[in-house]
Order: sequence, then structure tokens, then C-alpha cells
Amino acid sequence: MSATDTAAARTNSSPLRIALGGLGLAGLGALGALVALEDIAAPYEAGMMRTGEALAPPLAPHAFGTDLLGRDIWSETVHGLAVTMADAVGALPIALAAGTFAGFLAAHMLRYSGPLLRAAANALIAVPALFLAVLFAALLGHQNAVVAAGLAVAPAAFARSYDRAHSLLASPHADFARATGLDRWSLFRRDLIFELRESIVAVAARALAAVVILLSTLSFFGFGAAPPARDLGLMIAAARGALPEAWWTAGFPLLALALFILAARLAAGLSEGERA
Amino acid sequence: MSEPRPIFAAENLTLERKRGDRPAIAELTLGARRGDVLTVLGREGSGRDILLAALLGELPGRATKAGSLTLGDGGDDGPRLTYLPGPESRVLAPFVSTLAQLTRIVARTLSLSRKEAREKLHGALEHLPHTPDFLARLSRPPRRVACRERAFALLVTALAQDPDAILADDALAGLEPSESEEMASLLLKEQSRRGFALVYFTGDPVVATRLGGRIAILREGKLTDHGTIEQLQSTKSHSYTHVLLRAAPRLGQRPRDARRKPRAEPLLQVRSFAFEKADDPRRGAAEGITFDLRRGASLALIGEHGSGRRALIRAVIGLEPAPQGRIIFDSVDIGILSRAMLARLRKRVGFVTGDDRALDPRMTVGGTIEEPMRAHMRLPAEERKSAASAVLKRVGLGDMIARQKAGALSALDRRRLQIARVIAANPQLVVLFEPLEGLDALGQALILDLLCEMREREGPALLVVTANFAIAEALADDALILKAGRIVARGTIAELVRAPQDAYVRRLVAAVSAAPADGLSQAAAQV
Repeated sequence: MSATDTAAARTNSSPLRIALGGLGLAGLGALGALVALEDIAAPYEAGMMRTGEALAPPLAPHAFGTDLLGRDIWSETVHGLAVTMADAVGALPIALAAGTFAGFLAAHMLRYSGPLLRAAANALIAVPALFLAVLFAALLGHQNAVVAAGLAVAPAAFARSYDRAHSLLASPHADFARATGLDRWSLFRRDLIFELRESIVAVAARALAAVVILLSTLSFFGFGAAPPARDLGLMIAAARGALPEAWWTAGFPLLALALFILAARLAAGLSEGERA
Repeated sequence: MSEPRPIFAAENLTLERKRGDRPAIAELTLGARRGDVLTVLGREGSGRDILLAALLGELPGRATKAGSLTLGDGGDDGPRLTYLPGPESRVLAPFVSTLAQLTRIVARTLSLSRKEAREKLHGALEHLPHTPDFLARLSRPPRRVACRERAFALLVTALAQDPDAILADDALAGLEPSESEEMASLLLKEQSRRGFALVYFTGDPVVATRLGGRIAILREGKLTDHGTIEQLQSTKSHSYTHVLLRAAPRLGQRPRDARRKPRAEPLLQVRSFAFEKADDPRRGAAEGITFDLRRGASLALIGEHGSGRRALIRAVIGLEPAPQGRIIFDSVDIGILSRAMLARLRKRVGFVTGDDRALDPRMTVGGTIEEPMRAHMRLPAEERKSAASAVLKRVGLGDMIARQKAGALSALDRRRLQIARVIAANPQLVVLFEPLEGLDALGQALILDLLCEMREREGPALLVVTANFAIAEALADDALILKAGRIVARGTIAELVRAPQDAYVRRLVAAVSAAPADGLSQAAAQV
């Protein structure tokens, strides 16, 4: 084992890293539980107006205040989080299949077109993911924002998993396996199983963080979720007008979004500045 | 003539790595005088490393010492002890000029200026055979200096320090046999010329025998035996001594009479293989490498690092196309096969290598053995499991570890696992690529036994790639000697060993001969 291997292993298994990863997973779990118990947790139905005075500040009688139309911010945030999470969970398999899995498969199976695909992925990575997402959303129609976000995340995921598979294929043990007659499929299966076992949680969490950011931004710009179903991005966009005098209208949805992304990034083991 | 000056004397020396630990060195009484050749022979964990540290005055801070260790005659002006590390050790910084670092070492120990130190190095070099631009080439950083040259440069540095004693820490490890032979004879020649003491720390009994002089055998911190090689080989010595001295493969060690001459079909035919295309105008047509390997026969490709052995093997198993020439496996020219066909062909090839990274560290031991069975044979899972556990037992790995990760095994157990994997796949051809590399003497003996047993029982054709004549002799009948991409000699191994025609072959044979090389060691013992 080389020095860099041990160094990597050390940073990955340092108690702090493990604790932070666990915290991220716990956060995701808590947010998931909140969404699962949506009907109990939120006292008002989604979009229910005039639950009280308009633009009531937080604490009494609404703990998180109300917005311009008198909607309870807490209930709205929970419902928005549910929509965002559902969309993200829908986009995640697309990102994982078109990105991670496809990259792994291409590295193993496509001898000549694999490197070309890898280069194409590089070209797409050069375009900010948000532009890609907007482009895909425009091409596929607004109702398919979820697919667009998934596809926009795919190139980076493709490149990462292609490179990982490539380095595994160049390792001495892959060479040894080939020398003793293991075919490509055996090697593919073996590497895939180990990679799934080792890093699927981190990889999925990383894609989740990226997808949530894209989906919310799409909605914020009006490419994503369509009213009356509101997700967090749309809530924040709608609260823009009232923001100077009533910070809570955008503040609490923002906080929920930030917590969601933070939890996903922690679960993915990403460090500061690293792109999701 | 008065007694030569003492270098060191240990009396009832006990060393602990940490207070309260089991002693790493226990009640050791040992000494050396100027002109002595003393080999401290012990496996990893025998305490030889801490003894060396104690002699150099570099015991780790938490270590404790009891008994006495006197350097010199106990006066203020102690003997100058010089440390000689092996070429693979990491004593030098990898990115800085080698020569500058070596000069600084000499300058510091002798309190000289850089310029004087440089002259010292030149002076030491004068008595040794070298190419004129040797020092100039040393201005490269260590990682870009060849292993042999690094070893040579370290030796020159040690000599330049005018030592009363050289403490060598496995200084010949990592060298190819002919290089190691060359370096050992240089070291001994200088030792007898200058009359310093040579204290050599190693785990390799072949080197210990080669150096001659006295051998002190350490086992778990205790001096189990001490004497010249003749005394140690006598019946009076400790049984562990016999085990250790006999462990490393040496020529003539495993005589096998009446080898069956297989008259079967050729399994592998290599025809005018060359490493470059023959139409390269600068080279002209090289004659190339041609040989046959019959079913059940075994052939050794004896060549050192850089002889082209790796490229040849990769072409033979179809991992890379042959630049020139044809390779025929089982009557099929593999140059015309598709990748998928090649992979199918390779199912009949087994591989054992000295590279410990060859096994996937993430796989379990059981999975490693079952993988080729699963890929190559249609067997029900039950049969696979039982076959795997049978092979595991055969190579001496217990059934219990089948669920352990391959990465957690020791080097020896990983080598066993490689052999188990080969046996399980039941190949027609087994390529052994330096199969004993990186193992200590006892491990080498174990693995060699396993390989011999596999040869007897399964009877695959063997292609043994090694630089070590003793390994080749134990496993193969015929040999090709490869040097710089060409065959320099061929024939049966018995003949090659008995009457080597080529100077290079002679050197390879001498490196693993059982007897210490002529003259030198006697001369060393007399000083």
C-alpha cells in the first residue's frame, strides 16, 4: 500500500469524518421523517390561505409567522420540503443511472468509445450545471424539470465514476485477473459489487446534494415546480417581494433548504469548497 | 601481532522497545574486532533491527537497556562505525541530487568541507571498478538512479568515511543475483584490503553464507547459535540453525532423480519473438526468441530485471500483442485472436507472481479462490465451496479464514492464496513470475515446497520466470538465459550449472551456490 493510499484511508476514517458523515445521514433521516409525517407535522393543508393575519411575525400565534396571503410558514415549509424531496428522489436515479453507472460501464466495456464519452462528459462539465439544467428543462418541457436536473448532474457523476473504474482497471490485481482469464464481465461485476458496498451511500448523497440545488434554483427561476404545488425554490421566489419587511417569509424555507443540502453534503463526506 | 582493536562488545545486553515489553534483545553476549566479518542473521522480529540501532547509538527514546554495550576499548576515542543501508531503503531524499546528499553525509561524519568530502568520495572510488562518468551520473535524484548504482554509491560513501566498522543493514537486498554477487565481492575485497570490521544484518541465509566469517543467529531476541558456517552446519548446532540455513533455495538442494521427459505435444511455441519490429533500420534483423514448451514440461526463463522477461510473459499470455514473431498456444496463433477469444484461452493459464498487489485486497479469501472456478467452470455453488476449502487446507491456510479479506493477510499467506487460486482453476500452463520475491527464507522454503508439490500432483506445464538459478533448478528442467532481450544461453539446468559457458551465467550461478565464494572469505577471516 502506498503512502497516499494510507493517507487517504486515514482521512476517510478519522473519527471526525465518521461523526460528520453520521450527522449528515441523521439529518437526512430527520428531514425524511418530517416529510413522511407531513400531515401530522403541518397543521394546515398546503396552500391554505388566511390562517391568520397576513405577514404575522414569528412566535405567537404562528411559530414561524405567516406570509402575504396569510399562509402558515411552518406548514408551507414542510409541504415545500416534501415537494423538493420527492423531486430530488425522482431525479436521483436518473443521475445515478446516466452518470455513475454509465461511467462505470463505459470504462469497463467501451474500449474505443469510452474515452470519447469521457471527453464529452468533460466538455459538458465545463458548462455550469445550472445552464445545462435550464437547457434540458427548456428542451424537455417544464413538467420534466426533475429529469432535467438529473441529467444535468450526470456528466460530473459519469466522469467521476469513469475515472474511478479506470484506475481500478489499471491496478495490479485487475491485471492479474485478466492474466488468469477473467473476462470483462467478471471484472465489471467484481468492481461494481465492491464499489456499491463501499461508496454507494456517499455517491448517492453527493448526487442528491447537487440535484437539490439544481431543482430549487430551477424552481426559483420558474423553470421547475408549477403552482399550486410549491417547492422550496418557488416559496423563496414568491417571498422575494415581502423580504425587506418580513424576513421570515423567505428565511425559514431558505433555512430548510440549507439544512437539507448541508445534511446531504455531510453524508457524502464532501469538504468545504468541493463541488457536489 | 597483538589483538586487533575491538569494535563492540555486548555483555548480557537486554533491550526493550518500551519499558515492560518482552525484551527485543535478551541477554546477548556478542562482540567484533577490526577485521571481523560478522553476520547477524535473524528474521523480522528477531531483534536485529534494534541491535543495529543500539550499535549506532540511535535507540528509540522509549527503549530501555540493561547489561553492557561497549564500543571500542571503552576509551573516549571510540571506533568510527559507518552505516550502510540497502539500495531500496529510504535513507536518501527522493528529489534531491544523490551526489549532494552523499557528499553531505561524508562531510558531516568526518567534519570536512564539501570539497574535501567530494575528494574523499573520489578517493574511495579509485580502488573500485567504475565507469568514468559514475559520479556525474549520481547528480540525478536517487529515484532516477538504478538500484545497482544506488547500492554502489552507498558503498562508496561508507568507504569514504574511513570506517573502523561498517554496519550494513541488508545492504544487498533488492539487488538482482548477479548484482548482489558483484557487490558482495567488492565489499569483501575492500574489507580485507582495509581491514575494517563488517557487521552485516540480514534475514537471508544465502547472503550470510556468501559473506563467510562468523554468523550470529538471532531468534526472538536470543542468540541461538554463533560460529562460522562450517561450525553451524555441523550436527552440534541448534536445530533452528539447520532449519534457517537450509530454508533459502540454493543450488543442488532438491535433487530429483530421473525426471520424466515429457514427449507430449508442444503446448506453447514461441517463434522469433522480438521486442521491436525487425524492419527497424537501426537494429537490423534480430534473431529473436524461439522456444517450445511441451505439455507437463517445465522451462525456466532466467533473466534479471530489465532482461525483457516481463514483456515476453505479457505477450505469451496475450495481454499485449507481440511486436515481432509468433506465439502459438495449443496450436493456435494467439496473434490473430480476438480479445474475447484470448480471454477464453487464458482460462487455461495460471499465474503466481511475487507482486503482493496481485490479489484484490477487497475480496475475501474464499471469493478469491472461487472466482476463477466461477468464471471458468460450471460448478454448483456447493461443490465450489468444498473444493475451495480443500485447496485452502492444502496450501496450509485454515478454513476459518475463508471469510477474511485478502488484503488483511500476511505476504506469505497471500502467496499461498495465489497458489490455492491456481490449483483451484486447474490450468494447463502455470506462469511463475519471481514466485518467492519478498518472502523471508522460511517463507521461501514453504512456497517452493507448495509449488513443487503442485507440479508433482497437477502436472501443469510450468514457465518459471526468475533471476535465481536455485528457484529455476527446483522447479524446471530446462532454461533459457535472457539478457537485454536476447537469449545468451540455453540448455538443461543441470548442464548450465555444472559447466556454465557464459560469464553472465557463471555469475548468476555463483550468486546462489551453497559454498561461500572462493578465496575471498578465507582472506577476510585471516586478517
